[in-house]
Amino acid sequence: MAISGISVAERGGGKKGIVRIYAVTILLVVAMILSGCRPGRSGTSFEPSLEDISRIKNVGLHVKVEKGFAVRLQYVTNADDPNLFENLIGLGLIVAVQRSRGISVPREAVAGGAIGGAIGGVIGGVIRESSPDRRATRALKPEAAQMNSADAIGHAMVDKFETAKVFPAIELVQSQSPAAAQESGIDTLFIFTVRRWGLRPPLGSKYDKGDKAEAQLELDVNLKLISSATSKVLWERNEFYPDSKSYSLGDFKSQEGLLAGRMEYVLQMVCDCTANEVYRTPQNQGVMQ
Amino acid sequence: MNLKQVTIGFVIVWAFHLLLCAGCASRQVKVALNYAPTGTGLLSDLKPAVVSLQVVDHRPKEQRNYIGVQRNTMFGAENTTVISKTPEVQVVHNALKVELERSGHRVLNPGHGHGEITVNVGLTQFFFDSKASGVDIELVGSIRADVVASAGVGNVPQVSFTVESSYRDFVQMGLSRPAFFGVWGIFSSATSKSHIEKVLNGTLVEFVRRFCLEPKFRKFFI
Repeated sequence: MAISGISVAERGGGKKGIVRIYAVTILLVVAMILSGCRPGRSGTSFEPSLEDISRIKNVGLHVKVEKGFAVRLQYVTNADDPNLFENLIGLGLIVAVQRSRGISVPREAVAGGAIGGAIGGVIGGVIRESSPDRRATRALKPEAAQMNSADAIGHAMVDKFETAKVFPAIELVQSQSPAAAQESGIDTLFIFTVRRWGLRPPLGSKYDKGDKAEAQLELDVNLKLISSATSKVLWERNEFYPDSKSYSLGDFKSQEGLLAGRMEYVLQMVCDCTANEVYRTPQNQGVMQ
Repeated sequence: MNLKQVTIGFVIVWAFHLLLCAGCASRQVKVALNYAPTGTGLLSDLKPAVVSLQVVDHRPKEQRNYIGVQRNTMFGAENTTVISKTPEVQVVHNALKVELERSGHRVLNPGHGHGEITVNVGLTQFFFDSKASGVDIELVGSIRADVVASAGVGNVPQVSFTVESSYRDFVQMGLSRPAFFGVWGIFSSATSKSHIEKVLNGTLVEFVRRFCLEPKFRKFFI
């Protein structure tokens, strides 16, 4: 759309063409801003029917990690911004869409867009790569490695759910397809999506540079129970769990096992809250105490 | 319009903007907090009971004067403090009372007799904060309380538990305040009052949910 706007101006569209370029540019900027990549708000999307929940027997837990460990102390999304590669893919998509509509896209416009995207990507990339958050993320990657995979989080959650007897039976599954789950004898699929996890500043704190910066672990998850037989969503929630304790960034770097230990603590919170959410049918209330 | 006129116009707009900012820095943002439940009562599946409910403030002194900070959306600098129109202890008490009553239970206020269940809620945190990141603003609310509950009063066993709730939402900088009105808007626009209210009320809903789904509390109704 933007590129076709440029072509109108170049073809001598005059004032109308220029107005169109401005309009399209504003729309593009707004669209870019609105398409920011971030987790949605907390809360319940689907309330459970106690009848449905009480029928759950075998649960298949499927874990997905959308954004792995990152330090987000200076800025919220520093570690998550799109990179140069994504900018150029975006440009390619715009050109492809325009061509598929039969709208000619001048080579100059494509070249200009590519150069602009590349410059933006490089500047953005340099800023992000040199940011204290990115350096801290790199420094803590070995500490985070123990919990920084769907497999590790999945095993930790299965252990916790089994210990707390949240479901009669639970096992890790690789597929998120309800049909595949049903074939394996699983009646309910539990999709556990880690939208992001890492370190964030505690509420009301002021940002300090370097290892003095105060930090607490955060985990943002989407939890969804799906019936294998009907593919119906039985329960869905977006949960944001900040750790109740905070430490300095230096503590996380110097104390071996601290980061993984706090992640275990927060995963236990997820387990306890999930238990309270799904295990409240009258016949089951005596179990969770 | 020549260059001189443009420069004068620009200086006037800046001076007006600085005046506005100076005014903003000295005032507080007062937010209206109300518990707005949806769906059926979270305790409506349990046997009706009479509950004596008391909420007391156990927050550190420095957290009692204000419940959060309104920040500049671009760089996160503190703009002004956020205070609640109704005392936070009363907000939490009202929220729990509304939820219990809509679930079919009766609530007795302190000094109005003893119920079948006695609940003492010690509020330890009620706070809001926001964090800027270019075009995104993260808004986070948090409420925490230590709860002691018993079946009646006197020499009866008590159970204690902690209720923690957090709520997070994101808004676009330009949608929170009219940052598009110019460069000065981007540099000084602050998180809007309505977004702060939305997040704190969302935190309240999450707090009541966590409280009502706590098995240690629910077992008193069985």
